[in-house]
Amino acid sequence: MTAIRTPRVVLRAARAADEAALVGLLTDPAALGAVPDPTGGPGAISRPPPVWQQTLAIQVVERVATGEVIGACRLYDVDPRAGIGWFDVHGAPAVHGRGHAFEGCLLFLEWGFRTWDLRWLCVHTLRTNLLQFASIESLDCVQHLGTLRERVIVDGVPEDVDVFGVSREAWYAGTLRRRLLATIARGSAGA
Amino acid sequence: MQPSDGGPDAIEAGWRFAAPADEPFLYDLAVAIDPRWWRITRAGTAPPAVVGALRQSGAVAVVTDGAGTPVGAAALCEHTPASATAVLEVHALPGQEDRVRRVAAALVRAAVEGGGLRRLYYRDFDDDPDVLGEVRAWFTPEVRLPRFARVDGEYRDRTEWCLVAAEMPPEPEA
Repeated sequence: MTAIRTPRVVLRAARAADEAALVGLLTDPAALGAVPDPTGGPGAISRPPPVWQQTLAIQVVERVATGEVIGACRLYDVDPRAGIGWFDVHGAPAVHGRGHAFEGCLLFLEWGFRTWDLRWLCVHTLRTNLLQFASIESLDCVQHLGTLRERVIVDGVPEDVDVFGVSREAWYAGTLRRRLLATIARGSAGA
Repeated sequence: MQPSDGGPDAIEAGWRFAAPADEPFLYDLAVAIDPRWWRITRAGTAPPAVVGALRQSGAVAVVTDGAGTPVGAAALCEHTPASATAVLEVHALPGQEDRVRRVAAALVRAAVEGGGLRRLYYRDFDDDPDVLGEVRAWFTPEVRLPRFARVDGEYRDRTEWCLVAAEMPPEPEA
């Protein structure tokens, strides 16, 4: 599968030319899902992130209207024996609050379960990112698996990390996927 | 804290840091309880995979019986100095859990103090043998992965527990 498209965004495999955009997404403190500086020092998020390291796949989210990369999802730490893979989500500040990153995340789940023989796709997220997705727990396919209290230190402040998971069964049975497939059908028709 | 014999009332068990010569025992332990030492055997039990995973541990301790024979092990991994966190793994050969329980408190204190930790994590399957004993009460469950993996033919949940170093009970005076 090379790409999945909705009327607004396309999820596709990252290309070499996307690296600058990916570094921007991962380092801009204003970006959704920015990676905290692992040194934990002041001015966190100042260190170039290991964009490609320990990552099994990077899918970027491209805005159809402009062709710009506005988000990315990375698949990492796939555990074949358990059938679990972890992913992260990054969204550009320019599209915050418009649903592009969330739509890209849903496309990533569809891509992940179609492409990888996994039972679960799970994500760690800072509570500050969660505010962007306040309704995530209400989604029928998403399970809140727990909260790691004060797990990381960002700018010197301990932050909670929430853990969410989507099982293959829940994804395929959920209403969210049915709505997404309808949206994909509209995107394909308009392509 | 230094390796010890587990205290005056626990002469049957002690612990020490692992040496290269312990690798055969650690391999045997991981295979004997497969897949409960998940990080070590999640990619299989072939010796290169097991030894490779063992060598990625931050520190490994061997639990011994009164004769000095290895009966269990503990490993500190995922140590992140920036957040002062790490994961402690504790395992025993089948039937040797009581000896490991005797030194569990010492192992946990050594991990927290030696690693300068703010929070210490511990992960287990819901049917794992008890190797922590009373130390279990120091940990709080924070994340549960339902039906994580098959253990002895059945899917088992896996829980991530957290110990807050500042809330750890003080060490009893000798």
